[in-house]
Amino acid sequence: MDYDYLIKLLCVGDSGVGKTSFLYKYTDGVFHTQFISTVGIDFREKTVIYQQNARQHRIHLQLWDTAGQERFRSLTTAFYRDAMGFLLLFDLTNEASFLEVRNWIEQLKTHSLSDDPDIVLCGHKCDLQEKRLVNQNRAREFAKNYNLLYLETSAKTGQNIDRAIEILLDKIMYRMETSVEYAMLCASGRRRQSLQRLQAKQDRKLCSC
Amino acid sequence: MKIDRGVFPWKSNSSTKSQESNPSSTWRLFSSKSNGNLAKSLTTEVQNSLSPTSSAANTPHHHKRQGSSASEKQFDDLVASSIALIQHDRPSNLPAKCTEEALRHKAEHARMVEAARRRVEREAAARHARLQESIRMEERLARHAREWTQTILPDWHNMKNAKRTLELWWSGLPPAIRGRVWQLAIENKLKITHEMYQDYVAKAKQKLQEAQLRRKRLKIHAKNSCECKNEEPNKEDQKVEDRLSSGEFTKCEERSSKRMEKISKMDDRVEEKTEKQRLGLPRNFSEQNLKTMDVDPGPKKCCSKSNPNLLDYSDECSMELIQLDISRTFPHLCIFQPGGPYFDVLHELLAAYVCYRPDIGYIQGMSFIAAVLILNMEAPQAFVCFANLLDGPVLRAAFTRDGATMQRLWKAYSRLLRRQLPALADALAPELYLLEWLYTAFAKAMPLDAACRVWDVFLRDGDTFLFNAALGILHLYQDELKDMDFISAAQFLTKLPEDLDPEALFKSISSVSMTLDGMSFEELVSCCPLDNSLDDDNLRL
Repeated sequence: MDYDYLIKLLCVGDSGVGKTSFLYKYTDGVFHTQFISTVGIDFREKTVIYQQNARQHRIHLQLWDTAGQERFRSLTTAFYRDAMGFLLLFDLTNEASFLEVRNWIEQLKTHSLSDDPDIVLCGHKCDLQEKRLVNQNRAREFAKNYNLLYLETSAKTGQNIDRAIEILLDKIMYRMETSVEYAMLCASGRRRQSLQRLQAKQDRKLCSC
Repeated sequence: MKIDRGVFPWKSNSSTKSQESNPSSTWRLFSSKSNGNLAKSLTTEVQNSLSPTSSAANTPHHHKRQGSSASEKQFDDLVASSIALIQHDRPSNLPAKCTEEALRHKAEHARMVEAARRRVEREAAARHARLQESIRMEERLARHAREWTQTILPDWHNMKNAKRTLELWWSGLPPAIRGRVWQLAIENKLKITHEMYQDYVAKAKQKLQEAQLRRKRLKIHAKNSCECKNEEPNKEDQKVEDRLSSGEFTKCEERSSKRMEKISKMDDRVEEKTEKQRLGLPRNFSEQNLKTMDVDPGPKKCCSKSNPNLLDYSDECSMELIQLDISRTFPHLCIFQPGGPYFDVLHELLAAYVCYRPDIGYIQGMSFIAAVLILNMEAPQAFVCFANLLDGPVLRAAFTRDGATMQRLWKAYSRLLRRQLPALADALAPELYLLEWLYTAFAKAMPLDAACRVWDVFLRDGDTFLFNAALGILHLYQDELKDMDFISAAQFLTKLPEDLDPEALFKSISSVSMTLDGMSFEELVSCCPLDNSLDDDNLRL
């Protein structure tokens, strides 16, 4: 497949918060009412066009779907290493899954490549208003404290599903712009060569100083 | 044959001018207009025999000219009318064909009819062969079932290792006796009785009830207290509990230990670092194992103190995660979902296991293993088998997350894989598919029939066969996998094709050698050096 960047995103959060449906909705545009639990790891893929400074990039998204059960966490953290961004989901109708978010952040910081990984926090299942147990302000406040972007999403209505991934992409693309090394991670062959040249040039500049 | 007759009405009616002047008339219309009963009786037959693909042969010439590439949908619509409209002569309002053209069209038409006839015959022959094959299979199964019940099962101890028994076993157990043979094969080393099972079920039910009561109380309590952003430890706990009460989608068994961490964090925030390290290292550390937690220094001490009912709480949490997972177990079968016939059975079995082994608790994947057993035997027997099965070397390592053993198994498997299928070993990390395969013993990834066949031999030969089967699957699909990127490959392997042929799979499994340089898989496992440096980053196995 032809693309400019390959970006790997990881979806984490407690069991049953709706990670698989979130990703299905994003890639296939459908909401399934019948679920099968994710044991281990699963994948979705999608290629998108990303507009950056009047330039278009074809971005191939690799979406990793992880098992949420804590006992599986020790098995899935190995996959965090080369993820470039994280979707951290909790269930707005399940307070415990919200309380877990802090631990998930710790996990991501510990096991991801960067000490300050790009994370978008999603309060999921926002269509279930009457069952909601996590107040929006409370979640917002929390996200602010941890310097995360916060969105309320629903795989059923599709609310903010695309938006969440776009926001995450914005963060990642910004990071790539500011760090050639980071960009190298994601670039496809052709792009990688040009980036390598760019870096070589930068290196030479440094040497001449 | 059907086609010949199907074409017949056209021949007999081709001269009917009324049809010709109305090219849009449908077959139904036509047949109703036609005088003979014959055409009527043939209507359905013709429609049956003309599948969309074969219809190309019967398309009238003016359609043919438009291009035989017309979409099948179009054909579907046209088939009915076209058969009636095939004609040697053009409609009267058009100039007549020249003889040469008419002959050519006639010949073309004959060719197409002939081709269609051959195709139908071929299909019929294939159908017949499939039918014969399934009859043979049925007969074979019935024969085998007789042999099992009459000669093998009555004399199990002497017969179980006989060559003939092993052969029959390999070729797949007849469903009628599968459950019995599985029970005999799994044995009951743990000496679990049916009474014990009933006790555990009762205990589990009681726990659930208590929990429900407690939750109701807490809910009322929580309603009275206002929501507050600054979460004090108590409040937070309360909210957890409160939350547990109202959500069907509460997953919580993990929460128990997390909650302790939370509390410990609040008690002593400086300890955060310690906690972080610990979180990274729970390989052979069962979070549910309270003994370990108690001896562990640091923040955990205080949390076990502050939560004397922790065990109950964690059990309760397991129960709720079980509930969430049951409906997500074989959803396509629609029997484990709430209201389905096996929802309660599966719930009770898993809940009983949590009471039986609180140190292991419930782990995702278990629901699939238990479900396969439930599909083949009664609940108490299924529980006995489940507990004993999970006590086998590989599954025990997986479900107690015994990192050292898993690492050894993984390495041994990787070595075999590299030797047998080097191309795949490089292209695809085993973590991406093998984890799921092991935690569900193939029940999730494979069509159920094939999975049961694998289980037959897995229970005959022991846990090592899981790895043998894994290599067999990769071997069977190596050509398909070669052209896939790793994501497609992982997706393919965790959802194997519905038409997976067990015979082909078993052929493939037996073609894979499980020895390397003269060492058996078990020897490979035991001689694999452990890489301590990897202890920190979890499953590198």
